[in-house]
Amino acid sequence: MRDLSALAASRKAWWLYAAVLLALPLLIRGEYPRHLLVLSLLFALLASGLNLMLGYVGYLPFGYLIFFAIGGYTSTLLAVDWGVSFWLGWIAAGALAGAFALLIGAPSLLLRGPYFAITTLAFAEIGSLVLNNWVDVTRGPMGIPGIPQPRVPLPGGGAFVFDTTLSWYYLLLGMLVLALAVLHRLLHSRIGDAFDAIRENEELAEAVGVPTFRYKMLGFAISAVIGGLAGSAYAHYITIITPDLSGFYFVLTTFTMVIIGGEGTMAGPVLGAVLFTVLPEALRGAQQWRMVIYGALMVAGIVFMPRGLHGLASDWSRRLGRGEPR
Amino acid sequence: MSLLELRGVAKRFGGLKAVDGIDLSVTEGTISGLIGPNGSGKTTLFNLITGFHRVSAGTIRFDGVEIQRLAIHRIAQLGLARTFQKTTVFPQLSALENVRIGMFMRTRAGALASMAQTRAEQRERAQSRLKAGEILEFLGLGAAAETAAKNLPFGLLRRLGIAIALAAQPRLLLMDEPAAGLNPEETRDLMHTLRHIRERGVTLLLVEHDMKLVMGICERICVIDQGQRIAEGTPQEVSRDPDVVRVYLGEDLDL
Amino acid sequence: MDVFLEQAANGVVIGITYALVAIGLTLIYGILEVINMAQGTLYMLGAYSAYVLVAYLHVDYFAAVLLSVPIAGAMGLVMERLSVTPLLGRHHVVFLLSTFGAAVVAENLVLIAFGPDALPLDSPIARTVQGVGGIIFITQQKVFVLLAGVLAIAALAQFIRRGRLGKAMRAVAADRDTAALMGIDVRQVYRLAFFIGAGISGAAGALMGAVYSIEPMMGNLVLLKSFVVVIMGGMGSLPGAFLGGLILGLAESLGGAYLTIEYKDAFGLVAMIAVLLLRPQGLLGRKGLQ
Repeated sequence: MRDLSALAASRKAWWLYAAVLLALPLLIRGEYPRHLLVLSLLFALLASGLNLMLGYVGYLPFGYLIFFAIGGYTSTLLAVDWGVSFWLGWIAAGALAGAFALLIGAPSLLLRGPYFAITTLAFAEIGSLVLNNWVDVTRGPMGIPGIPQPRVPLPGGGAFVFDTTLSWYYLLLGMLVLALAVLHRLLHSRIGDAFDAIRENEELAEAVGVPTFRYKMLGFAISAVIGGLAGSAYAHYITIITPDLSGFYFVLTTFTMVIIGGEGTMAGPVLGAVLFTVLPEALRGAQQWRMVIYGALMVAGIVFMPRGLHGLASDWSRRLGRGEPR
Repeated sequence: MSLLELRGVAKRFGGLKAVDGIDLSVTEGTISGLIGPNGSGKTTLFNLITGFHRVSAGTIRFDGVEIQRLAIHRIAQLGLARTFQKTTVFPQLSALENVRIGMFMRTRAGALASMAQTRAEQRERAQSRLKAGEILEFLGLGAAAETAAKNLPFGLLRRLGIAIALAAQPRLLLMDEPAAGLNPEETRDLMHTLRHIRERGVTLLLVEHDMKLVMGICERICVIDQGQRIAEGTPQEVSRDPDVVRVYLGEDLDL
Repeated sequence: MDVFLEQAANGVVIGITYALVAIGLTLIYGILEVINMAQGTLYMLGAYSAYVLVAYLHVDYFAAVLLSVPIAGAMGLVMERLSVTPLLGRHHVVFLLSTFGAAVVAENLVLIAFGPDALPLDSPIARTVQGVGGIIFITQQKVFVLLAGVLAIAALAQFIRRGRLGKAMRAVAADRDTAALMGIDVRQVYRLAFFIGAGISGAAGALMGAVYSIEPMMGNLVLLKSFVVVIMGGMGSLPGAFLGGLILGLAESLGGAYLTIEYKDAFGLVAMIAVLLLRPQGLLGRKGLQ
């Protein structure tokens, strides 16, 4: 009986969340705050992809941001050089990022944790070198400006163009909800069981019959696909792309979001993304101080909050709320 | 019918011959033991059978199928389970979840069906939770079902390790020093448990150092020393074997 | 032929720098089992320490190089105290992130303090060209880097092989628990290892900084290169780090001259990936510290 009312309460809660999320950009006026909302959603998507590998499979893909860059450049080049629509380009971006993950993962996932991390970093560095130096294709460090925004042809002629923060907000909200829904299903399935087993004790997982390499590859690929989709969206939103999408700033920011927000939970990276998109504005300092603070927060986060903010929050609610035995 | 059959199995680590041409066979439905002093190669042999090491020579047949070149998870899928010396569990998951995941290969649903959460898949999930609960009860862990594995006391942890191995409904269960660290009363409990496990249709092969347990419960014993088999037979035969006595000279042979 | 020799000479010089940083990395890994993502940052901090000494305090360059060792070492200790010690006992992977965080903090503090532009670290012999055997012409500074580097490595090797502390370090690297039972203060050894590892990287920075110039991000690529070296030479192997460093330096220099300048940084990375897959223990490596 108690369970049912709890269920009802959470159902109502979902309606409330949905209503708030849908109404939010209408309530918040001003381009800049809405821009921050869009960025939050973008980073939430990116961080969720990272979280799949880091928090659920339990492997640290230091080179993860290369998929962000690959996705961005794929749909950019398709749009700018070949006139492909964003919608197709977006899917291609995810697909190509996933393909590269299989390529990179095949050797890298044979290695233990820290070596996997460094190897992905090496691959990412190689990728970065290519993006910077293969000027004929990527235009090098200067990047590619003038990326066309997504458009939807309308029945009466003409088209709806995604050129406002408002429209992008809803587009990205849709993408994020889709991604999280897929992740949720994934993690509550047999695949999620395999991930849990691998993360908690890979040796034992093998001994109970989990083909760990196969599942690690799957997790890595899906994680990369999400990163690639985020990259594509980012490129078409900002309308310019440069190789620093796989650079230091993005790496640090994304990892900090996941760690502080709470890896191993679905809400954690979203929380982290919002926090670390909005917070810098409160600080308003030069970008260097931002990096100092992020770095310090990351260290502090790892030392003091092993389960991130979300872990802290759920610990408190458990202790305060139902008084369950530990 | 020989469930497990080793022929001429050898393993070299660099210049060191850890296992030097061992023949061994385990009959289905029995409890067998593999004993030897420290450094005799029994742990290496154990790891060879379960796929954690590659053999340098020889064949290992499980139910007629050659397994010495198979990956660990493939061997497990064929019905060969193992426990670990350093008790190995999934620390942050509950005891129930530990066992449920141990059933991983027993669930039939494919990856995509699993994601779609079809009716069949949901039924299977509910069933495996029930089965997991049953295994926990069988091993006296029922009360600890919702406790995180890392919070369990050592003795229960041990039993959880066994529960996870049993979850996969193996035909052969290899146990790596199951009596290590147990006092005599706990060892007696273990013997009861092992007999019950055998009654459920699981063949057991114990790799042990503790003579009391092995002599007390195994029907056939194989003794190895320095990578070679030095005796094989019933506990009575083995305990009378002069080679065995020599090797265990100074050990408390309390027969 | 001249080009070849000159590039080879350059390669050896750069190689020694890689070796020094890699030795620091491998020392820390061998003893603490921590992969220090801030190793490149410590290299940079050594360079900037020397710069401050020379440019602001008018200290003689050679003295500055010597001083950069304890200064970088001390900074390493601070990092260790904040981002390593509190996490001891936890999963390997957390150290990658925490030391990475520490590296970012340090790098950006330097960036804020000194600005992003390259600064010159003045050495009296930076521009004097030295003829070697009448064939190779390189600056005396480069010769100095090479000699100082080799000297430092030799001194460290002796220290580890002979000294009481060196023996303690090797004991902890081989088996920490046994070492503790033998009465060795493991935490002390950890700090010592970090101090030396940081100091030697800092020295490399001070040496190399005078060859070209210094800038806040100079440590990033060096970090990656030192991974390459350590993995090729074997984790925990000092001779491996030494040889690996030289080989990488040569490969990059010659490869950059004859094959492709833009992708020369990729050589090492590709080699590292290959080694990790084919011979994970490295070309020379074994367990423990040698």
